[in-house]
Amino acid sequence: MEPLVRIERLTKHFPASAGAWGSKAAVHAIDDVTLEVRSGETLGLVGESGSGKTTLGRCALFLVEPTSGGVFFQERNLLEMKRGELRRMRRHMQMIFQDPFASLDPRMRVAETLAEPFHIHERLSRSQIGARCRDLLRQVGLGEEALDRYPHEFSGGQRQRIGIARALALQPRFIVADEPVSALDVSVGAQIVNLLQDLQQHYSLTYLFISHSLPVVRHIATRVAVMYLGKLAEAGPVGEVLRRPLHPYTVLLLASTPDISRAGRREFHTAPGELPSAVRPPSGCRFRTRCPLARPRCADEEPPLRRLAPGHSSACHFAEEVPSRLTPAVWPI
Amino acid sequence: MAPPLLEIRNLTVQFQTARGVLPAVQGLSLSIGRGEILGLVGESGCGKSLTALSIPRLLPPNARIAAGQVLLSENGSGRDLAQLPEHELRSIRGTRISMIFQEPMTALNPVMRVGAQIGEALLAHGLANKREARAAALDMMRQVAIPDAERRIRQYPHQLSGGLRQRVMIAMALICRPSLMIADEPTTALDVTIQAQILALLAELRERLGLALLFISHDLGVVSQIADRVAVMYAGRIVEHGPVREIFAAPAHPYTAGLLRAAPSLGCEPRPRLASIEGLVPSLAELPPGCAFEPRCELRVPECSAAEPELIEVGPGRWARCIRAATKNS
Repeated sequence: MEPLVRIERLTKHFPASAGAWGSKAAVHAIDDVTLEVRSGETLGLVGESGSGKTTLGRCALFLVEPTSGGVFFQERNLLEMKRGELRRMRRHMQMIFQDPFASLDPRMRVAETLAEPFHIHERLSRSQIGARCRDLLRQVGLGEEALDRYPHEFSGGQRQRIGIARALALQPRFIVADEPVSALDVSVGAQIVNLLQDLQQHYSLTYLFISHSLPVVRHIATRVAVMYLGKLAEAGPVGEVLRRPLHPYTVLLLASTPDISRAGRREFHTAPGELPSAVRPPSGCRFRTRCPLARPRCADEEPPLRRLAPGHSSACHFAEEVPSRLTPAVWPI
Repeated sequence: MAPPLLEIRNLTVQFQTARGVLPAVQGLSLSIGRGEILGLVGESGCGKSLTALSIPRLLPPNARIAAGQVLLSENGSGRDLAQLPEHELRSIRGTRISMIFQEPMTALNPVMRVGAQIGEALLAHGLANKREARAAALDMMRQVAIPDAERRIRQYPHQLSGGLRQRVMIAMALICRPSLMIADEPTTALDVTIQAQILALLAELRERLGLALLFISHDLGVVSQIADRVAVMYAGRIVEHGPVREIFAAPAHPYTAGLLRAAPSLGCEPRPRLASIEGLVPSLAELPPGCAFEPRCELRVPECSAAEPELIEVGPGRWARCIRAATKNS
């Protein structure tokens, strides 16, 4: 399958004032990440806070300007486009946010929120816009009585449906969904996940699905990319990555994720240590400070992303030695 | 048999609102034994946090305990916290029962060194002088595995990571050696690798100190991992409770079963679709006449809307508030 979106050697540094005297420093939000999202697939992007997954999602839509690298949509580099061209391109790429409370304008009726993209991108009559808005609401499972109401009149799940309707308005091909179910209760989150899957089928959408939750990503994604401290640690087909992880960080994530299928086992496999600073990331492999397999080479040499199985890559010097499950013998707490 | 450490009997908590009195918690009974971890789960608005806050009587001003008993038994004597005068309750808060919350940053004082905050309760209750309080704080920081405790004791909350802040909260909560800790979503704001560290720490503290925990969470996975017993709440009521393995292996209440089907899991075969629970949680002002879950329940029968079902015993130590659960097991 051809890539719809290709992210090439993407780097994003944010300025940070580190020293008291204003010495220049940068937060290395993303460092040299190459990734593709294939047409019609859902690529799950997993990582903890500070991993750079949200920044990567925003760079993929060019909502944040990368420091270097390229973002290709249908093989055309967004970074080299002129303003007008980029604006026309934007209708094909939309975003769904985590917090439907913060991403809707509280002073705008749903009708106005949904009509806004049409005013910007299309010349339609008022009645045409009205018809499109009603249709959008129906697609996301809301009635047209919602049109005259304000965001605060809806529950979290309903607001997320409105956010999805707005993202769908211009019939995009690519949607970045940034933690779309994280703020929702389990039963409501399941409704939204199902809706996203239905819409994908119906409109042949391509998703970049950003989440901290491996169970959710396993459910919805075809492939998964795991990020750690601004770097891609591992990427591959979701079933394979979870069955046979090839990066120690993925193994740690899997072992740390509580799961209802292990009810009552009371086994906590975890590793000591915390996320290092993104202003001064560790030399070599960024995960080495928490990694049980770390050797001198890991500090000296940055591990490149290597393909170890068809479509399955890992950025670990010792990927071949990575145990697929974390046991206390491997990783004492 | 010795009475449980904490026993809540028929607790009813009401909200006073402009629209009248709303029943936020209705006729709730639960017990926690010494050294036991009880998981209290439910979705937002189900009343789990209010239940927790009503134990040390720290309810918001517009909520009040309308009925029920909160019995704390220690050293052979039992006291009803719901009836205790405020000054007596104050000597129990922090010393016998303590609490930790989801967001340690809002619970910690930003302009006070963490060591002083940890030791503060000892001073407030007159249990130590300043030097002893500092030594106890340092010891407690080591017990909750804060690395480099001698240096950290002089730091301020903003200098610590989220995981370390939660460890500071736990140290504060444990400094007076309470027998019960109420933990309200203690790991929800943390990353999963840090969450696993905190869960491991809580489980270890229970073993080492014989601490009992009321662990409140919306996250079924987390509760399934840490709890001995689980109580599931819906619309202010406990709809099911029992031992953790049994609840997760064979839920007796349709709501619990629905929640488990809706939660994606790494341990089962991939499913094409998640089962969702249709509809919305009813508003407290418009609770249905019979079973609160009836309008959303796939197994409902006409009798479900006639009267609210009682909690019935469906197995040893297992209770469910569902008339279908009764017929299923008899």
